[in-house]
Amino acid sequence: MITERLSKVQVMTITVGAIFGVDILMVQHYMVKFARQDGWISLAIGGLLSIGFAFVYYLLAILHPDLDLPEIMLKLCGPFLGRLLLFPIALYAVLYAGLSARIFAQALKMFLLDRTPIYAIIGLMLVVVAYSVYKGIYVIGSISDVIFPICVFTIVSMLLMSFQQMDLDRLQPVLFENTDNVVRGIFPGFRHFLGFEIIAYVYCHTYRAKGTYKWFSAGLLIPIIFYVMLTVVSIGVFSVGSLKGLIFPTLTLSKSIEFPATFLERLESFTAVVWIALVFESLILFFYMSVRDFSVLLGISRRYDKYMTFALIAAAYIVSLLEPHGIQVLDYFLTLLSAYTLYTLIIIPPLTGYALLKRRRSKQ
Amino acid sequence: MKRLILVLVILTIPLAGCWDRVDIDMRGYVLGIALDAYPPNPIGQNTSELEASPEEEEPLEKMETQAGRPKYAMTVQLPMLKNSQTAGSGPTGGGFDGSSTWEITQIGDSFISMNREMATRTSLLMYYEHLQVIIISDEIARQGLEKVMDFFLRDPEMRRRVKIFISKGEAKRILDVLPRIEDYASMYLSLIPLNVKKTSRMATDTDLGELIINIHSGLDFVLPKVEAIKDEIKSSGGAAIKNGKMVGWLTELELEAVKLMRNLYRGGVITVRTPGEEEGLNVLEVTKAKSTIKPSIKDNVPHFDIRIKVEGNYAEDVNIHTHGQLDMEYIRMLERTFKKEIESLCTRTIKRMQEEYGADVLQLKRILQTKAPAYWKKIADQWDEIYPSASISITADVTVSLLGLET
Repeated sequence: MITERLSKVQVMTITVGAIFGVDILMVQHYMVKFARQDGWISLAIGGLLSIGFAFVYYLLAILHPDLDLPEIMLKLCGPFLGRLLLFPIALYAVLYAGLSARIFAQALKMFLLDRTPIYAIIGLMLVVVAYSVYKGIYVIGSISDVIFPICVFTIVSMLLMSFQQMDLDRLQPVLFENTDNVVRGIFPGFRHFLGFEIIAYVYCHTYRAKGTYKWFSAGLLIPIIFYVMLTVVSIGVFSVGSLKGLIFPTLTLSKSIEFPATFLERLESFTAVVWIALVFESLILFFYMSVRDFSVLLGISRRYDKYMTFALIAAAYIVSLLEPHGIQVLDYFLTLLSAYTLYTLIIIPPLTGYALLKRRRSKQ
Repeated sequence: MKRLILVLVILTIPLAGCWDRVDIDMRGYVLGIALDAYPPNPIGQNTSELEASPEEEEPLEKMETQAGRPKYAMTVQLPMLKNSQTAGSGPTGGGFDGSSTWEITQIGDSFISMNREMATRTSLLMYYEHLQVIIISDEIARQGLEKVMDFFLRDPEMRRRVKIFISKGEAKRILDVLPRIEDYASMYLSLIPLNVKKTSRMATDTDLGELIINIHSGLDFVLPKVEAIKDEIKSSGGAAIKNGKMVGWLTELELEAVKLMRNLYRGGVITVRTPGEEEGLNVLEVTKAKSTIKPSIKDNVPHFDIRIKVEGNYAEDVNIHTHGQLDMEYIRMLERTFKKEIESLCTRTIKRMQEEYGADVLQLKRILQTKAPAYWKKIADQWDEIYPSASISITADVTVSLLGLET
């Protein structure tokens, strides 16, 4: 249902949608690379830290309830410095959308559409994404309402069905002479939860009712729980040695579930539908963020910012197809996540502190 | 109205079909794959009326290799769907006589190139999503499984739950079987392990996924052995795999012992000689078996304490008369006898694995890695030398719960 403002529940579903992305297909692979069988611990700690950082964004948003992040940045830092600081954030959203569309197309090509060209998969997806962003944030809210329960149901089902194949011994020994690696894995774990910054873009469209933060917290916790569970189950099913070699363990996991009924032999076809929906929603939200960033950057009013969508879609499409090597795309994606995480860790907390100080001064 | 027409026109574009559309009758649904060494080892090679392709086909089986020399022969079994309703399956080399399967053999250096070469011999598009079994000849298994498994793991159409078997002799012969019950030999073979709850003489949890997990984890393991005659397949016993290479066969009883000790026992029977009776036999039908392996380190030497708890029902006696005589005392005596038999069987099996094969099929290495990681770190490089002399004690505990319909 399209509402005038986003409800509290939609704050949760949108947050979940923004955090879930192509990371869900491969988070286990990278965590195990860092911390072996303890990768899930790094991920859990990284996730918990991300909640803290997410609330810095939340604080920034509630201090400026009528503005979104790019507008807040311009208001706090002035037109020049604000735009300067905003540019990397705007660029990130486009690059993220382009690279994640490419990674997803690669996964889809491997598991489902082996003869469909990558440019067609990405192109079609981006066209639908563009249309959704063009229709505005309330349509996006409704889309997330629809996708959220389907995704939760599918992921929970997949986890439950995989439990029988798990061998808990593969998670042992826990933290044995591995603490350094676990600590090293916290930052990579943290970066998989990026997307929570969406709150600074959508809060101004909510009812701003009391208790919104509870739904936002739920939106942060759900991906953490699912990512950690997926990592635990994947280690238990595949073992560390095999997991290190699997590029898309979540898809392989769905392919490994055994059903006595042969008509369900290709279960991954059903789960792929859910991954498509998840990545689709994530792309929509990142596109929405980039549209807002570039619109504010270029001084385009809210009334016309939807037209920015088409320009950015073209940019993301080019980004997604620039690199011919699939493995290099994965590297770029992770580097992008790291760079953006570092950048925002440097920029956003001082900005929020400054906003708080400003508020206190204005009250005095 | 114009807008509606425009939408309808646009909708016709996706309705035109997709890139990945392949008509069902154009797909070659590969049900089974057999991997043999080429040229086959003449020593110890079994001969059979079924094993060879017709001589005139051999030139078609060969291909021009690009880099390597032809080392492998891959045979795929395709169901001939148009014939499956009317005919039995079998090795016809082409399905021209109305057979329900077609076994295509290709000789080459890599499996993907053999797979593509097959496209020069059939109009069907090879499709592996419904693959049921991969049968590997013992000759290839002895050379090393990891060498040949990459294609089956890398190709997105392959499934990790595909069952793996090691054939004694030529693997292709298994696909050539004319099964009496199922339509296709591959389906027949893939369904046999479902009886694992009835008999303990078949290996369990031996699919492609488990195989590769074991190889990547550096663990030794057991794969099921498969043999065949013209119209029948038998899967019992196993192949011991050490460092990814087959090192020898396990007998049916040895496999039973390994399953008991590794907590893989799903069901089966244990037979003992009746104490004091020359010909008497007592049979226990095992309903539940659970084992634990506890490591301990004394003077820097590992010791493994294996405890096996077995529950079952008294199923049969042979050559003795026990009608109305099964009292508690007799049951206790039986329990002691079964216990001794289990302990003896397990001890014999361990001894052979340690001394003859040096294969750690109980995966004691993993027990140390997970339960005694500090010790493992010290001896990791010397495990192959330590294992053959590792001290292992077996304690079985047997409970006979039910007696059937008679005492």
